[in-house]
Amino acid sequence: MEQVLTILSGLSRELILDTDDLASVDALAVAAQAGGDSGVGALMQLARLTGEAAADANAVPDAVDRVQDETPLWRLVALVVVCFAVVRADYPSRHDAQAARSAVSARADIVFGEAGIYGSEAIAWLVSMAGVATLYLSRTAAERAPAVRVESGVSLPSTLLAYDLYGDAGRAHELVDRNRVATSLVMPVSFEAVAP
Amino acid sequence: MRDWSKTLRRASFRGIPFWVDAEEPEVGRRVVAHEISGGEASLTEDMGARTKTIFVEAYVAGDLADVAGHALERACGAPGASLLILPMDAGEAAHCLSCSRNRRKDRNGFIAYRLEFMRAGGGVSFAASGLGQLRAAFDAGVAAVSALIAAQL
Repeated sequence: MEQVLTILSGLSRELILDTDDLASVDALAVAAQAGGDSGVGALMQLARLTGEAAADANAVPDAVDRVQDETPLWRLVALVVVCFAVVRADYPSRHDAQAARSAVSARADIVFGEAGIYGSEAIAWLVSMAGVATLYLSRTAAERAPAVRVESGVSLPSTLLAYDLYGDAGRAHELVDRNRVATSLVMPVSFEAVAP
Repeated sequence: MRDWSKTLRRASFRGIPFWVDAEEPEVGRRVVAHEISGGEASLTEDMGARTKTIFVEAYVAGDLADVAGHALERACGAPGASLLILPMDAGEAAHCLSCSRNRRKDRNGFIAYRLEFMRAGGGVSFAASGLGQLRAAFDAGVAAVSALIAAQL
């Protein structure tokens, strides 16, 4: 419990930038140190706050995965954090939302298997939360445009490609971010883009 | 035989009930025809689903028809999408685009309305945000589950 609390406090201070939310993090961390029912309750509230108040919700699952802790309690807490983060994150294309949904389901499957030690009520609670998150992601996926592979044949600047694809050169940064290109002036001849 | 008057729903918008004389939902596809010069056949392209619009000929009747009518007009004038229930459709989020009253002196106690709705898109769905539902699911069980976990530590 202490180890999980230490990890979660560190993670929340890394992800949350808002001053008021950071004050809440401190208060919840102190409450969690008391242990017992109320301590675990505060730990869960801290997990919720971390997912809910993270400045960049898209970065949360990766940040959670960087943590080197294999205890069932940490994985349960991590699922709570990720469930709250994924419903706030932005998904530019259908593909992104589907990938996030698969990641949440895979994470939840592991936790469901381990949460048996806490009883059926705990599993039902986790299933309901993961269910809401995956349902939301499915709905988001249905509303987004699919991602497509674009073949230009010759290297072109990202602004020109964005203008050709969407009629808006301002969306060049989307192409650069999506393909993790370091040289936006010479884009790869084959890259991924949200369908125009 | 089926008793239609009992199996159809009572229509309402934003919780304000009204009676339906006629309803005309319009659904379809946005199809563009490319008519190429000199071509003998035209190409058609499906551009996706058309936004659903719903025309309703509604009415309120009875001794309190004026009160019911004013309530319906206020519901239609309020900002944002809300739940629209029609006799043979399950509820869906819709914007009210127009609400025109038709009261006649020879039909006292009966006020007809012509309503026009448009189905609300995902971005404006009311109270259906994932975060709200997730908070509800979290709050429902967090106390009990915390006690169960604490017992195992």
